[in-house]
Amino acid sequence: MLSYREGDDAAFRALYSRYRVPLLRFSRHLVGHAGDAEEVFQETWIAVIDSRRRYSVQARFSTWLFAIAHRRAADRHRQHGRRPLHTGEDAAALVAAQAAPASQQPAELALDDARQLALNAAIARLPFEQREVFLLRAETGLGVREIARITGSLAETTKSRLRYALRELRKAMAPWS
Amino acid sequence: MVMKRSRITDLYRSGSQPLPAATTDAGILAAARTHRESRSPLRFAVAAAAVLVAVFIARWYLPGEHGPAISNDDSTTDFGIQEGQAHSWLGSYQPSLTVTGPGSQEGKS
Repeated sequence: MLSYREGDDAAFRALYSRYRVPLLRFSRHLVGHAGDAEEVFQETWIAVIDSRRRYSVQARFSTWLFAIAHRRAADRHRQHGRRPLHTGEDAAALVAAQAAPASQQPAELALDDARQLALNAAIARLPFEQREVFLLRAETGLGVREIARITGSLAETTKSRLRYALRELRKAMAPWS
Repeated sequence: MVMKRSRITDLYRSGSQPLPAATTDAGILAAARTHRESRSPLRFAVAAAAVLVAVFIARWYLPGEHGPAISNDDSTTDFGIQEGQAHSWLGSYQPSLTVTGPGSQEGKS
């Protein structure tokens, strides 16, 4: 990011290529609606571009990036409330996006897809605050304190939300174990 | 049997790899590129404006840039010996035409 700030376009392309998939996946799972997620994704990157002159190394780039995405998604959540998560189109795209190794049998593939869809549905059922904490953890691997900074919550609250989220997901996925 | 925490996260990560639309990719990369280019002239314009303002302020406030304020209360009419010398010189002044021009005093003494 510092290189991009100094005018190196290649540095931005490297950042973009590294974070575009995790950021879009995070946005999709968090806001639920594919169109809204794409908008959050775009707005986040435009915000990164716009504010690059003010960027200073106070945290990891991923913390900064996902904090922007979190704010955009939270705004959208407040404006639109809950929308149907993972429409049929999204689910089909999700299944199509799975790269299938040639060694896997069709039955195995179907089971994997079904398990994946079950997990996505369980994530979608989580309350927004628990969902975002789980997604931040899964996408960035950040610790509780950094996730708390991103979401503007207390570390203890964040820890509790993560615990509740994982408990719910484990419960939902019990039949697939 | 309940799935382990790490398996939940692994399952999530092994899931879909959604890609943005090609137009989104192109738009963002173009924005990153053009934003940098378009900002340069603006930066120079802002810098130039700042320099002009600084020069103006410096000229306005720095000492020695202005004469003393004109005072209407100055009622001095007697300039003493210097006034007398000036009158004396004017009385002795006799303009005459010379090669160097009208009114020249050259070679008079």
